Amino acid sequence: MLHPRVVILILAALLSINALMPIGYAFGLGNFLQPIVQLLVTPGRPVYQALGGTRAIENPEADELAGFTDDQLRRDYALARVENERLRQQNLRLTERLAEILPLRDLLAERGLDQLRQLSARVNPGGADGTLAVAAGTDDGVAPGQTVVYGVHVVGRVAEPLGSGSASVALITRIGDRLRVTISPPANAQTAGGVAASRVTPLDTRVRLDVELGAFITEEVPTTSNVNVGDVVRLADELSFAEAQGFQLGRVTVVEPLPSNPLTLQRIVVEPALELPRLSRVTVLMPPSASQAGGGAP
Amino acid sequence: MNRLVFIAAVYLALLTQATLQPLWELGGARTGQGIAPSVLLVLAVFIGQCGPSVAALGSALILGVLADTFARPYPELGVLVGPYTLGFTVGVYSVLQLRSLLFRHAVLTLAVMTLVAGVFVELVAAATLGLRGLSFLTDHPPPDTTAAANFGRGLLRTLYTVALAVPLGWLLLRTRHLWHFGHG
Repeated sequence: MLHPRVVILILAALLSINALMPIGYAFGLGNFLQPIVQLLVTPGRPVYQALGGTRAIENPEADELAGFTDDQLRRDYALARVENERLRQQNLRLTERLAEILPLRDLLAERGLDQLRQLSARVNPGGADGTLAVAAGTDDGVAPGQTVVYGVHVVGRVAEPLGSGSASVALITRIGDRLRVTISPPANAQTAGGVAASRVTPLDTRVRLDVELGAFITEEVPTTSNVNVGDVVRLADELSFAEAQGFQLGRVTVVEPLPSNPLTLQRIVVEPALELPRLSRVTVLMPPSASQAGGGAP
Repeated sequence: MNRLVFIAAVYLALLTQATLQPLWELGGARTGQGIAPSVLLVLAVFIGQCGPSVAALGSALILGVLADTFARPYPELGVLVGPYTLGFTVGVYSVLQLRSLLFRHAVLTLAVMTLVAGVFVELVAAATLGLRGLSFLTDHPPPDTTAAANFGRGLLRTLYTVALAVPLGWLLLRTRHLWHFGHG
């Protein structure tokens, strides 16, 4: 039989452990006891109020809360915090979605391709290496060979096999070999000579795919070309990914003299600006429907 | 110890603590950050000073739980039971260790013991809340404060409680014969 003093110390230790528990458990006992204590001290409430202990009523901005008990206010506050967090998350998702959609719409309009249908599709987990599994298929009008983008970034192309509600997208870092591209400084950059980026003539070249590196490489750029790390690389190929002309392939991450010919040529490495395998949503560019192509239906 | 008297005294202390707070709270009354003395601590020290040791520790545990319901380190989450429970137990234990050295039935002794116990109470409570802030435990410190600030406010609260302990202690010592403390 334990000595009562030991029992008391064990109880104190247990309650102090309660204070070190995670939020979900630590406040359970206290919030159970609090209404009981509040009930016990109810006879003293008139004295409390007579002494001016009505903080909510003292505060002119809180008159509307005067009828609420402390417990109601605390519960409402907790619910409001949860709702606030939900709305914040929703706001983040919508902001991200807008940042994807608006530049895409502008780019398609600029290239006269705004009649293309844009199908936004969720990316499912479990795509094979070098591919994305998207939750859209033939039922949605998806067909092999259609270009897949995310905002102004090219992602890849719809590949076989194709299901009625799912499709596989081969990433451009797996299939985009010998692509013609243009390299130009970012829109808001100033070149070394102080010329605005928009006034610089883009460098036209071809890149080859290095699957191991997951990047594109070109060794055909003269050292006289004004290419810098951070420059934007856009697709300009008329045959492969023709619909994605003007979309970003990536950014220049390495500029170095070509070892075999360091005086005249330089080697440039281009890496996708996005982590393509980690995208959660993509847009499939589909040909206009018959009614759109006819230009008639509203 | 007469349990009926104990229950009545705890209830009166609880009522006093809850109802007179607007009267004696200093600073930050509108924000709930004011400093108010602890009647519960004075009662715990009184029982610790005059009562049997087991009853004193048991009383400290109960009064500590009640004190936790008044302390709101996490205003938006409710009541956290533990910091003051352990603090009161440790504080009264220190009183039990020291009481044989002092004249136990004097108001001044009660005030000094309240100071000693109060420091232990606040130290333990601030340390417990500080532990909650450690990343390998809950990583959830009390908002808008630090352990040092908590302890600083606790010390002010203790000094205020010592001032209250003089009149309240005199009153409690007058009722000593009702408690049947025996020779604890």
